[in-house]
Amino acid sequence: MDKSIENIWKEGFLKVNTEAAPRVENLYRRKSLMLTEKFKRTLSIDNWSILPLSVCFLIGIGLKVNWGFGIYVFAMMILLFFYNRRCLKTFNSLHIEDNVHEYMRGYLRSVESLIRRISRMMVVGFPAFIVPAYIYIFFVWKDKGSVFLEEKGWTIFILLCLAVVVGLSALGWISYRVSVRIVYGRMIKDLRQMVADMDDLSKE
Amino acid sequence: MSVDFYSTYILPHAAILIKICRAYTHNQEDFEDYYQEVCLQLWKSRASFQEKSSWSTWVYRVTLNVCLSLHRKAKRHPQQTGLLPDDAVTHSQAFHSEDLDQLYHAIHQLREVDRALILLYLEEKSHAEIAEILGTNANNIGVRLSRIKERLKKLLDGQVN
Repeated sequence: MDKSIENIWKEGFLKVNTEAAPRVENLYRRKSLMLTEKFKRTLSIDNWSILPLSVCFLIGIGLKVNWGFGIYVFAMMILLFFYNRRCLKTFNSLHIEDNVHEYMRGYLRSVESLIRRISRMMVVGFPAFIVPAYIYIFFVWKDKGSVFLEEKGWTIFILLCLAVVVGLSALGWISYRVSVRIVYGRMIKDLRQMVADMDDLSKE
Repeated sequence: MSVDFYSTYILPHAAILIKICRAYTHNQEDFEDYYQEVCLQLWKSRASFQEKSSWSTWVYRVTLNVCLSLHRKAKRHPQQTGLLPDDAVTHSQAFHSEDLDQLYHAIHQLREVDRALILLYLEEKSHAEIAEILGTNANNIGVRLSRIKERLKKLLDGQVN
């Protein structure tokens, strides 16, 4: 190469003017798509992982405890899988082509609503999932229920059940929120930041 | 971002953005993304600009920081950003020049920080200005630049891969 790098640089950029600048439009489009795709992928993997887990629970509980109880746990987990699947379909109704800002706002709304719905479900579902199983083990499998009722009475039993239900509800809510924070915390933070930036951009 | 902000504060320095973004990207799509991200960061960081330095120095600094961080991110997750290998330079800007393309091709083969250094040198920034923009010490900039220029020359002459 005969020319010096300094000359190549100067001559190469002689004609550069503002027309060479790309148009600034649809900011965040690609970034938004990348984030929402990552979100969808993680949600989907998360949901599909319920299936092998449910089979493991079915076999494990079936062999170690009782097949009836195993099927109950399996059915609950399958229900959760289909419920999540239905919830995930709401994301498909959002299209970035319409408007990136609206798309991201809609996406954030859907994510927050999904988290709220599953949190509520955990509050109700976790005790609903555990308590019948516990009662089954206590009364049918181990046959200790009648002895307990004779000794302590129904009032204690009902109070104990209520305390367990409240405790399990709290545990379900907390464990779900913690898992959301661990798995999706960063993505949700990015999503909120992006929407906040776009809100600011649109104000000016 | 208002049209006013873009046309008053960014457009007069568009050449800086173009030159730097091009040094860290390998195709037109990435180039446009980087350019837009730099514009956005300039707009977002406008409150942090304290007039201790000139606006153009600020533009250089923000542009380099954004490009370096995007480039590092792209290297970590190439499948998500569509980053192409170094030899897949397919820019289609209006300022096409074969010599310049070759120079950029050589610049792409330098380390990230060396790219920043040589870009600022080619923009005729003094060692003190380069140090200020990169937030480094001005003492060894001359030596580093000589090494980088030597390597660039070899790359352009085809002496090294």
